[in-house]
Amino acid sequence: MKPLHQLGARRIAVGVRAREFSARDVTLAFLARVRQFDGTLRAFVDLDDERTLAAADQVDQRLAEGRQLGPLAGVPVALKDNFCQRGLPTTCGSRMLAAWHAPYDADVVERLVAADAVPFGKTNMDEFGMGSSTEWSAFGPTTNPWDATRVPGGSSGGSAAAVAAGLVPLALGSDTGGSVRQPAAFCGVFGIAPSYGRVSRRGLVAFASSLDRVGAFARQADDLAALLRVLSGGDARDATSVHDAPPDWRDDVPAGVREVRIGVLSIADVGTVGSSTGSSSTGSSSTSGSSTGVVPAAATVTEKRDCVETAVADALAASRAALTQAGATLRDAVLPGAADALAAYHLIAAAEAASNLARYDGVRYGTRVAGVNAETSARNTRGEGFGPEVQRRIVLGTMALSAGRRDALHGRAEATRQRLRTAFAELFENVDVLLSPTTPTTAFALGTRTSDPLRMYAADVLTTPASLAGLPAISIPAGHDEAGLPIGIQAVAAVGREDLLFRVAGALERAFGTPAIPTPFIEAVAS
Amino acid sequence: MSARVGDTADAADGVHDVISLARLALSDDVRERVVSACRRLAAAWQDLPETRRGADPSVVSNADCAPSHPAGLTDVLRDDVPAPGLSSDAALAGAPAVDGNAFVVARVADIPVPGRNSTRP
Repeated sequence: MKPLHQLGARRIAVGVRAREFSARDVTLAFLARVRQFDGTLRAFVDLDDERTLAAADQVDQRLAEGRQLGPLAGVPVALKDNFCQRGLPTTCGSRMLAAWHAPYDADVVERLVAADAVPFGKTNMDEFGMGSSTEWSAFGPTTNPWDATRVPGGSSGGSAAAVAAGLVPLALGSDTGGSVRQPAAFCGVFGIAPSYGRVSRRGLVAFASSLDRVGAFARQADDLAALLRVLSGGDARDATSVHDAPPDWRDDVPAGVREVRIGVLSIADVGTVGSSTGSSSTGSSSTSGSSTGVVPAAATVTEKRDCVETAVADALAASRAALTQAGATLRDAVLPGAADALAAYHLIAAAEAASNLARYDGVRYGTRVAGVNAETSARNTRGEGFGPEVQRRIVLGTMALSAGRRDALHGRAEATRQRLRTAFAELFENVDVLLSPTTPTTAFALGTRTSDPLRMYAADVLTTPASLAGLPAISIPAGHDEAGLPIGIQAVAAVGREDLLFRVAGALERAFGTPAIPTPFIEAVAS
Repeated sequence: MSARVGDTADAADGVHDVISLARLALSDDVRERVVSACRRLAAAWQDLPETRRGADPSVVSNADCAPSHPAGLTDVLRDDVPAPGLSSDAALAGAPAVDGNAFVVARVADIPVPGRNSTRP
């Protein structure tokens, strides 16, 4: 048998139920991995051996009592540090909450425990989910397990890196504009943002409420399907929760893609680094006559966009070929309005963040910095408690909602969002799945984008359209570039059609292989 | 079309006002960095298509684009049934300062107190 840390989550659960090994054995194996490798990776911000082993022992105890264990029996699952777990720190990567302990469990934590999983520590993240590299954590950056000089992506970078390095078989993240899919691509694992409302957000600290989704990571598509099923389902405590019973997506992974209609977004016109035409893209993409362009060449509402790297383009072509070979019907696709998604996303997310984060005033929880009166104390608290990226977004969001600017900024962003939703709906009349790279580039070097917000935001150019529309989207590992850095391919489907995403994920996993644990990193640390 | 945000000194001053509205006490150098970044971001993103109030009547107006749930949920209410909630002790446990069953805050009003200097901080 392989070492325990190399087993998939479903295999671990089978082994625990069959008493091949105990939940404690599994937990000890992964704790040892963390102790060995996380000094370099810095994926975890809180992990208590005693507490984690106690949770594993409870699973073993239930088995010993003859109870039937759940689908994640004895499987360690890491939590991004914006999920509440009763009595544990929930920092959101912020000095503001550095000493705060959650008074209740998130809905997803309750579901994990009910499925006999073992909650396995809290992972690093960009502060309050605002970032694309995990460099905006108040507790220092996480590194990429494929190259420690690179970022793991963000904001759920700790969870992605931990799963990729084999420090934990499964992890949760949150995805507002791509915060699960983008780090999944950078770290070479599967990462899914399910349909908005599919998974309850009770106990997920809010960033942008019309966009926030609970997401998940795994190194195998069927493990991800099993995890998502456990997490999904209605919750009366979350008004956005959809109460449909979740299907068993594990059956979709091996089902194949025969007769699935897949549209492939052209990547020719995503743009070039440093380009700034200043042209508007008002509806032009829908009438340009292009049969392949998702982003019209003249449309740049951001100053800077990333070129799609050659290796990423090659991976998309290889994915297209693999899916064709597997029986899917492939065609080029156009998504009018996609060029405006990044700007619309950031304006809407910033506006909602400014509102949600107004609660941090040093009165009811979190950090307090003294002042001569309550108002001064609140201002000092927010000035010292929030990091620079969060402060920037709060100001931008406040600006977007302020009198005289609301129409020009937030109003147009919401109108763009509505047009994009319509464009997706029309697109899904002709295709079942939309395929694109998850990111234009592979993981960038640490420290190269923190001083340039627009450059940092460019990493999300391909993930934000599905975010604005609340559509399920998955990042699928699809090989590596010449430097050995992973590449992710994104599949998007209509609301409620995660089944199609898992069919595509399964087909591409069979084509590219299940992602390996990165040996160069492991060997370097071990030596 | 609306004035270009960040194009004028007035707009720049407006960003300073926004920082105040956002209740952020920032040092001068941090404040300037935030102002510079926000002006740049707003300028980069102001070219989103107009709403119906703007020049192009073919696009959607603000009134047409109220946020809605992607799955079509509306007027979501749960049954009005009493259920255990967070206890006072649990709610107060994370507060920076408490007094009995209450949060302690710095003074919010300058109320004269007999025998005390009403102007003390």
